[in-house]
Amino acid sequence: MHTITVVKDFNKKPYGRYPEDGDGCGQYFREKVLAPDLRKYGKVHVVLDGYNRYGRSFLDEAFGGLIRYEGFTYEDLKSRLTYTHSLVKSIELVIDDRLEAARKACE
Amino acid sequence: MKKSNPEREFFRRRAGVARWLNELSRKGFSYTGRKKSGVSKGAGWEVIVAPAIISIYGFGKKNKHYDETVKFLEDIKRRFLKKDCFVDFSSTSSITAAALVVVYAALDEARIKRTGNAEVIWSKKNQRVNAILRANNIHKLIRGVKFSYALDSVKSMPVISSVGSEMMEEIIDFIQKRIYVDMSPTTEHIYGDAVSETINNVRLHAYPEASPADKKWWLMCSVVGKQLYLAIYDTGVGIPKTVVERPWFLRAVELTHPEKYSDLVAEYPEREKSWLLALVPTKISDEDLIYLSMQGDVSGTKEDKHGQGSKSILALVNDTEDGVLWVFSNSGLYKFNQSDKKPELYRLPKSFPGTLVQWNIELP
Repeated sequence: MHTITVVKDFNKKPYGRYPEDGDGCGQYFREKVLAPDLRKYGKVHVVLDGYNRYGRSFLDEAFGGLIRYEGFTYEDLKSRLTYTHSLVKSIELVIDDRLEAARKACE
Repeated sequence: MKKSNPEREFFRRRAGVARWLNELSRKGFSYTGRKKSGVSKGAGWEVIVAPAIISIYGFGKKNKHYDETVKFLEDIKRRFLKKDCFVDFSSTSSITAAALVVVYAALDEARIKRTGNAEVIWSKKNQRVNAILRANNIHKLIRGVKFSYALDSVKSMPVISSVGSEMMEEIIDFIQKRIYVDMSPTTEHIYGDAVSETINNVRLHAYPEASPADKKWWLMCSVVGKQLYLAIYDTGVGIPKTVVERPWFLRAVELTHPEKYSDLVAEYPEREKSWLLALVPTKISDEDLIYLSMQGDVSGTKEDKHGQGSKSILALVNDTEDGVLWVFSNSGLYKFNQSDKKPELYRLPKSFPGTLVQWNIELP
């Protein structure tokens, strides 16, 4: 399994949705890190530890965007993508919610 | 003969000497009866008078605080620095935190590209008002003095002006380290999410025509007793004007206001969707439009990925006991009490300039 640690492999303080929001935006994380790794490796685990202030927009654009823009299906992601934040479980719940919302939007 | 107390005699003599020395030092001066303010009241200086109570909470038949405060803001917008002027707080006896950030923003915006001089006239009613004005740099803003501050070196947070996500981390750091003794990672996430989504909404929606550098927001964070007051303000077009552009909006109106939606369609059966959207404000009040924006996508289609900010904004009061959320925008006010979980909607007597999101949070 390939592991991505957001604060080490992408940005120490991820923020926002689009490039206008800065280099740590959700779109860049999805396009430059998450989607390429999902295409390269069978299983990917995202470690969100090290930063507790993730905004809903960042999480939606990064994870929900995999279904909306990158061509992944909800079922595929459920079998190959995992994510954890050891201290803030609600961050994992937001990602669950945004993946579900993206599935509804695209079905 | 009454025997005098030696100690009392000493003080009596010393007071006499002080009076004599003062008399000598003032020889040749005339007594005016009033201490000069140190401000030269040049001819032609305008006076912008602040109301007795600067507050945006009180409105209705008995209470005119909101009306008077909005009039003060309009005066600032129209007159501040157009000519040399005084901003006169001499009759002000009270200023609320939320109104303070709005006044700060009005002065901050009005001073751009204006060349007049300005001076502050301090409150004669309440020294606490003067302390609040000083602590938030209002006097420097009025005088046009450049100032800077670092949040890691201040005891209380002054009003902050910023764009984009600049200062966001410092603000959360301040709340985490200075206000909370021991903030849990979950609480930190709730604050980070609410603040980041609110300022993100400013960039995305509040100023449709402005360049990124002009999409300003102002923030105040104040603690009174066990209550934290946090407010983020922008002077943009307002929620009622932007919510109608969301892809889910008409469907949400149909679901939440079926009668009004039917009226609209019946009245204009041939009109296209864009026409109906333009006509919605004639049927639905600003407070209802704010309410709709706080619901986000209620149509169930989940078409609009941008309708998420309201969930983060509400989460900050949902997870704190006795939390209250206020959203002032244009002619509407949305108030949400965590205790009864029921939103209250009000029509404001005068249009509010921009949008203010304020949380009242009870600290642990």
